[in-house]
Amino acid sequence: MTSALNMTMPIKQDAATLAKLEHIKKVFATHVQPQIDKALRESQIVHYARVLITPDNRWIQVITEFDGPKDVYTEWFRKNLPTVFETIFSVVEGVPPWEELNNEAAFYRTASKLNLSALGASTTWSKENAPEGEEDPGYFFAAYPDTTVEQILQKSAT
Amino acid sequence: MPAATAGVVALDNLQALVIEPYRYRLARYLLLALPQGAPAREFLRELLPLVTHGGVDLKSSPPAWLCNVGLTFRGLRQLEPPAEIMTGTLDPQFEAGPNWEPLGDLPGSPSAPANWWEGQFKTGALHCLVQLHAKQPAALDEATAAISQLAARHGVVEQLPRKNPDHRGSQRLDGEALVSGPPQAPAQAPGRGRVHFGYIDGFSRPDVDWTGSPATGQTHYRNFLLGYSDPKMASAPDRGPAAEFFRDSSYMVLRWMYQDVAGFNRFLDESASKVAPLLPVEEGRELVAAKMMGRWRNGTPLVLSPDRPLDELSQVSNSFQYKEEDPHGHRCPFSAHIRVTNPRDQRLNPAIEEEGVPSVIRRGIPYGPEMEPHATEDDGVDRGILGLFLCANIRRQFYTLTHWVAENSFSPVFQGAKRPEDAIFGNRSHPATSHEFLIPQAAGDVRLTGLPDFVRTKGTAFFLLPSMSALRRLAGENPVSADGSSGDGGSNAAEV
Repeated sequence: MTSALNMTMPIKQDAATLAKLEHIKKVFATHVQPQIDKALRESQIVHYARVLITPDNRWIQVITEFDGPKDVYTEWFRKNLPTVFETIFSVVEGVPPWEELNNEAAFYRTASKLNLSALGASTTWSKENAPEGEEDPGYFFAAYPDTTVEQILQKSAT
Repeated sequence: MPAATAGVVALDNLQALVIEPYRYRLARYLLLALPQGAPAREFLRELLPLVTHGGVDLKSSPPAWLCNVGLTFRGLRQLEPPAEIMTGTLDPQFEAGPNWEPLGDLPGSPSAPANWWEGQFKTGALHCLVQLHAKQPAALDEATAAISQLAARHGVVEQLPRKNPDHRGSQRLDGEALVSGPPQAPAQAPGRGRVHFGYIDGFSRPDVDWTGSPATGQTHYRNFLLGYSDPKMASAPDRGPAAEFFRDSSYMVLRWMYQDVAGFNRFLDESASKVAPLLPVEEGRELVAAKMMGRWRNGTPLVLSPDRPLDELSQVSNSFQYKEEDPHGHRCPFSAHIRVTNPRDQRLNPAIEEEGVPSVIRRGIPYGPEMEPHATEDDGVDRGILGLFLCANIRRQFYTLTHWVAENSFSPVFQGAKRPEDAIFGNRSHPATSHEFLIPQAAGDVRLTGLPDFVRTKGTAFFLLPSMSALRRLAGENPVSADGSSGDGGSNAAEV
């Protein structure tokens, strides 16, 4: 089943962080993007992914659509793109330092906390079946929610 | 404080269930809701002397009954341990509780969480599991009475998961080893048992090394015990006072699973001639059963003996691989249960290759009366298995396996627009699920269509199986200072 990750993170507003943010913007295409591209291509579980910064430099977003459970996905992210996430989290307000974040449980907790629910109601989530305390992830449209990246790649290769 | 350096584990600090399966034929799982604070700690304190740990001699002087105790995240909170021990330290999956998606318990299907515990209570109402094991019914009743009296004294409430009593009139989860068997079943080796579908179980238990220096083929204890997290096998808590507090504890998943034996037998009957048209029906149905499990019912692996079960192999039958010995699934189908839950050296998909094949310690016991062999009419009696799965990382170990069962998409051997599931344990309610069981054969594949659900989840709960030292501290016997080390006197809360 395809799921969405909408990590939305407040950016620290001190001068050093904002300078670092400008540097990230400048080198993203040449130094960050290739790492993401290679890792996601090899994973065969990610449909779409992008990183956004709002025009006022107050929020950074990592938005992706992927196959399978969220915990598997976030752990894959941490293991395969550590420098990318270390860089991103270095400009984020209110998260632990990377030395503390760089383990499975802490990274999952933080990613979950920063994952915004979409507007509306999920068509697959229900309170009676969810673990107590879990919130509705919101409306998510997918034209092919049950077709995986791997299946699409297999099909397109034949 | 860094995690302890791996060394020899003090087995008497573990609950004995972790170390080896019990040779007791009866079990009763008491599901309890704890009061808040001191009464809960007092209950645990009085329960402590009854808990069976690794120092108990189960071989030469086995007690009449054994007792183990697990606590849910909410149950731990009822005990009010120090905030430093509990806040953001434990496995987030344990803290969240069972999630239908990796479990494959699809909303809208009979296995959906909304239907668990026969509607008697929500999983979140569970705080504590007391597992009792006995050889004789009188001993089991004696143990039950002891726990019930203890519970009553401290305001602990038992949750009864059965709306309607079982075949013996019990509303509890009572398990009993199956004693008779099909004619082809060999004498059972110690620690092995048979399940309602007729298979001998227990051949592929991990050989756990408790010394910190695993030999070839052994699994390091950090895969099952907390407090020894390392980059190869991460677990939570991974450091600090919480890791010290919970060291030698394990996560334990309880799965209450109904098994549709009559439906399974009907499927074997219907499929026998399709798979083996030249064989007598009896032999054909046994071949189908073997193809679905990956082993003949006596445990002989198909990879080692694809044409017939061999008694002499069944006792040493865990030494085989798939990549070279059966790359096309001609011996053991790709969706056979043992090939799904342990694909051994079969190639995995890139996203999961690094973590490899997970391992869990399986315990548990069948419940409900046996059906007549080959019976195809359901008698309406509840039967199945009370499964226990022990691990150190719920996502990486337990959820990975249940997800693979629910969706055979972990290896490039699985192709096609519809996803197959485990031949026996799959929940085929998902619209993207294939209802075919593919049996690859050199002479042409056989596809068994109309594969029904043979198993239904009736309840799932995540517990921490605390070490003896953790139990003592949770009970307030050895209060904890801020660095997680033991103090002397006072309540847990007073030490925060």
